[in-house]
Amino acid sequence: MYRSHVLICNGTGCHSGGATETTEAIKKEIEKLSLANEVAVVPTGCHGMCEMGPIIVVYPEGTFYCRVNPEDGVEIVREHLAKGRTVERLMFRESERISVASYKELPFYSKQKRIALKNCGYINPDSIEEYIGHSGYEALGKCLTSLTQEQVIEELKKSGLRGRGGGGFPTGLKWSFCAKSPGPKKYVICNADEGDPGAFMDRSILEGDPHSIIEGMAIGAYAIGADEAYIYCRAEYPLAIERLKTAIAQAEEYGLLGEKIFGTDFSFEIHIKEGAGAFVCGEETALMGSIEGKRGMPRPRPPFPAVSGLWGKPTNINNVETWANVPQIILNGGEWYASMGTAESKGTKVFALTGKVKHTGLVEVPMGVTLREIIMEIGGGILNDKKFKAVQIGGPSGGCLTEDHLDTPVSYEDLTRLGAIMGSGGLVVMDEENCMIDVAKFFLEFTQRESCGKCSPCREGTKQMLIMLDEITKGNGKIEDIKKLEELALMVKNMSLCGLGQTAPNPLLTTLKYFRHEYEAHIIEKRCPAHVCSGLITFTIHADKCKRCGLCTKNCPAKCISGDKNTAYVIDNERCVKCGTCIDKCPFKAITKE
Amino acid sequence: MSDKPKVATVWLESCAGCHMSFLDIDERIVNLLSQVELTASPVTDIKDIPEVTLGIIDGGIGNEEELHIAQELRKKCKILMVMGDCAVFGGINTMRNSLTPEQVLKGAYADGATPTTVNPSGKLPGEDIPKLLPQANAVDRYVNVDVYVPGCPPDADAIYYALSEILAGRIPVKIPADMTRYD
Amino acid sequence: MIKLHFDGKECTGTKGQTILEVALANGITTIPTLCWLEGLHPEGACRMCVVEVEGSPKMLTACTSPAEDGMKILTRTDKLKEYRKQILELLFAGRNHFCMYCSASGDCELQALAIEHGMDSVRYPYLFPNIENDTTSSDFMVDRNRCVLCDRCIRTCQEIVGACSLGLEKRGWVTNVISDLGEKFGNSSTCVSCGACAQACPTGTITIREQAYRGRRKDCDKAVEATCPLCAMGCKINVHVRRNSLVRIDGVTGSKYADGGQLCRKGRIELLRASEGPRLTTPMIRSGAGFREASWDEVLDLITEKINKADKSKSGAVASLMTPIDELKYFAGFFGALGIKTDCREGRVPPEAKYVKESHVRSADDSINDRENEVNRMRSILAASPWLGVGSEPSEKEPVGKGMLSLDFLFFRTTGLVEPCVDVLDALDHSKFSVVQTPYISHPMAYLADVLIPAAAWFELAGICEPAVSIKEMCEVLESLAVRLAIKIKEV
Repeated sequence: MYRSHVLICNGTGCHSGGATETTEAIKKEIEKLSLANEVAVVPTGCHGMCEMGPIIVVYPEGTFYCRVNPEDGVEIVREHLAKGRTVERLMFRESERISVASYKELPFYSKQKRIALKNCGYINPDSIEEYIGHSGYEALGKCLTSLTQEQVIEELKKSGLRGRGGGGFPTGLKWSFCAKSPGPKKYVICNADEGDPGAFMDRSILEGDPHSIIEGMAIGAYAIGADEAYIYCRAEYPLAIERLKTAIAQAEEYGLLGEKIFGTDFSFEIHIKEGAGAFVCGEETALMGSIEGKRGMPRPRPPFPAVSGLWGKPTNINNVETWANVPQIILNGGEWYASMGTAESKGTKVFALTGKVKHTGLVEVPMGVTLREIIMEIGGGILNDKKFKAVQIGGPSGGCLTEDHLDTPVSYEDLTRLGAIMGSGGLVVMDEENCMIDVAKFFLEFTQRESCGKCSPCREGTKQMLIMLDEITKGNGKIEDIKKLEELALMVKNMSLCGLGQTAPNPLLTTLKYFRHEYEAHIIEKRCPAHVCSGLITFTIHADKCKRCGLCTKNCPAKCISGDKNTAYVIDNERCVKCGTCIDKCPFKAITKE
Repeated sequence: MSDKPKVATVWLESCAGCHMSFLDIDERIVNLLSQVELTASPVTDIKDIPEVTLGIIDGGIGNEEELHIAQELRKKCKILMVMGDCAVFGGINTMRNSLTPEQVLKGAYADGATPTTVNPSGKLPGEDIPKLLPQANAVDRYVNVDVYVPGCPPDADAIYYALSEILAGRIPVKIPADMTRYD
Repeated sequence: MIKLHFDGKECTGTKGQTILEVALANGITTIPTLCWLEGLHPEGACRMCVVEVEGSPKMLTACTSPAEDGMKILTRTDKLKEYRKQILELLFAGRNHFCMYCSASGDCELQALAIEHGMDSVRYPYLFPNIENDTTSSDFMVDRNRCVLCDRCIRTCQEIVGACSLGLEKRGWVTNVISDLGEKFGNSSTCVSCGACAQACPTGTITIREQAYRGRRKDCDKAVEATCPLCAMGCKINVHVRRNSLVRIDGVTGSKYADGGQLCRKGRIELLRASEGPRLTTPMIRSGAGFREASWDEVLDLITEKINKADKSKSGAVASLMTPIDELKYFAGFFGALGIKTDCREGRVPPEAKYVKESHVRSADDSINDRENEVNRMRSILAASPWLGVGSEPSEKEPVGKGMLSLDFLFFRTTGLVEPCVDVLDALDHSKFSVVQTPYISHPMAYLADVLIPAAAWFELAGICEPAVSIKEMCEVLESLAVRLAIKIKEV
């Protein structure tokens, strides 16, 4: 029995912050102090408060340490573990004076309800025993030994779980379509090709709790009558792939995958297929094409995958987060899951909260929680206490919402009503220093680059919308452009073959709807209110404040500042590259940008 | 002082084929000229463009002079009609757009297909020729256009149809599909 | 049986058909298409065929969506027309489309759609991509500036030809059609140069050099379905004719015939090229190094004289197996009655496997078997004791042996479509008197023959064009000779 457990986050974020080295340093120190029998070191998956990483949580106290480097780690062992004195300076600080000792007290965590992320941060993902110790594979056992296929599907239907990849299609209903299709060969697929820039919900689950996916897929396969599965994981997640491979091997060793699982007739095997760098392969028909070895391009539906999918066989494809919810739904019952959330959106959702908030990271909240609660309370409010401007939900497929919408409950129905979508859960918070046209341009650049090129509206339309936006940011926009953009965006939305093209205009359309004044400022006044669009910013040296020290011109990479001790210093805006170095270097705050 | 509507035509970056096609309306030109006063035009050789009702542009815009003329005509006319693929779509002139203006001039004046005795030093023209714009393009990229008559050249019938409709006041004019061509 | 409405008109179809199939079967022509081609798996990529369905918020592509009973479909609403026009303008703006000098102008589906939708200007900025023309192939020109990425070429090469030579590279607006894994068209190792992609291409992206600028399909007087004479496959061809000149030869797309709609390079290109030679219109007799025109009587009298003088055992007659069967029967019967040995060369070889997908050799239509049986029968009759061959010496027992020997009389009926083989040229070279019946004055036969008799070209025999009046059919020629020689032509 260990008296203390040191849980060190080994998710990719903390990994790149040096968590491996810290883990080694801590282990060495524990050895040195002969504490190895009393203190257990557990590498875990992502805790969620990624901005504060590398994170260490020490139990039983639940002390939450942030930004721990190897030296800090050694100090934690010497002070906290050996002598029982918590290291104040490493603990999470709510403000200058208040530090929070316990993990659970942090509003970041107290307001969350972690179901899909239940084990992330608690267990060692490379240990099947720890997963089993946390009720792992009990749900699968329950299904195989005491529930019929119909009963399993019924439980999913009762839970109200909807596809968490963005589609929001009722999972139980989806399973029932595939179950109805004639066999005997059927497939189950996990869509782990998380492509939205900045989204990492699926990655954290795969790295932190891979067995939950395996179990979820096994339950799903049993319910629909499949015996083989593919996890399509993007190659940019090597750690996730490694953890999955380990988990699958361990499950096979334990007889939880393979022939006659739990002594029943159910056999199930999982293959991993790595992606090759295409966002469009997250679309289900393109994904299946990619597994089949073809170029990843979507195809029209009908026929739907439930009828004719992978290699023409009935296939059920779900997102990572959806699968992760399944074991607990079986264990606790569909009604339990449905008791959380809103009328049409049940359960919880994992969000990647990023952008200009104080606490960025992964949060899981019940559906129905408002955007304000997520951003202002869990997220801690806007970074540097600037003014909130907009929140972008759903990545490149999603829309921007304004301050007026902050009290919107996060649910499929409420967000759709506003012209936005839930998407896979990316939330990017923006403040007054974000230009909404620049934001729309960023997402359009992405969708244009990732467009598979099959259908004309998406392939050509996104390029033309991007060109028009680019001209607007350079100050070459005309007032007719707004109408042209809207017309084109609507056509692309209505005529594209797949979800990529159908949703690519969303950032543009929502920013046009809610931030039209910014477009007009760029076009008519040739001004970027957020001072982002380099073609529209002017840098000015204010002569009354300028002390002619010359620091600005010395540091200017474009050599566009002229002047000397006797004449005023002046910036040539034609040659200025808008890097802002002069503003940073000026000790007298004499330079501004407009 | 006649109160007949005034018409001006210009040819910009073009082969003049569209004006030839216009003349192809044959005897219908008699009827047409009785209804309008043709002012500045390559056909009449009047250089200065007065205020006109209808301006017709043949050819695309590829250098500053052409741009200037197009803008001037646009200011001086109520209705602007463009005829021919070069004016409507950019046409053959846009073939040079994969090269920079410098490369175009070098190719024409220095590295020509045949060595030239007229320019043995390979000197490139400067202020003697109007400055090339970075790309040759259609007229409507620079000024607002009211009527389009595509073709290379457009059928004489299509040109005549457009002119008759404009003169009858039936604007906007859309050339019917059986008279539309892009070659 | 299911019932659908198209713009209010009731139509019937069967379950399993797509909306477009039902429409076409019922004569509805209001659904525009670009990436759809009969015989290919539909893709729904161009979005031209999108239609509105009453009661459904989603618009569907007619080419891929299954037709359901009771559907009420609107094909030409204002919204659809505007959307289609926008897509066409986007396509024109995206690449460099120069109609004025394009060989496909007038035949181009993109152009036709744009004109139909009243596109008289393009509202989007032109992108002027810098795509190099691909001139690496001697048979084809590939100008990707005209490509609309309909993927018809790729699908044709995959589904109909089976070579799978074409594919796509990159993503976004720089997506491009490539050969193999990025080869130029002419350097591809998998391409069989059949030209099926060129026929499938709706624009002027892939064009056949031989066909370019000969004329547009709509300028042609007629398009006649015939059978390609070049080999035993007997693929169906569609021959476009303008003023008695062949303009273009297409395969018959969607053909349910054994060829599956596939036509090979020989049929598409070589046949067209070979059909254009200088024609022989009157009989000619050798005069010094050249020829002089002669009347039929003079020539037939001369031939009669030579046959009478010739040692029949040292004479021979060779026919091309591409000659129509009826003519071959006369040929065999005439020379058989004279006791002159016959042989056959040229054509009717089994198709090369690489040109035709495996499935095409399994003929679904038995008529090809019947024709083949007949040809094989004639081949065995004509070449019963083969005497024509390269490299063997004559002997006492077989004076008309194989190889180089001096024949008294030689008659060669050729179609002029393929290069004559060495054996025949040898025999012509070494014979004392030779008669060549050919549609074309093609070398080297013109150097070697003593008498040239005009023949109808293959397309005249097939009824595609009318031959000149001065040309007599072989049957008539042989009948005239039989009368002069006072013999009766054997039944074969």
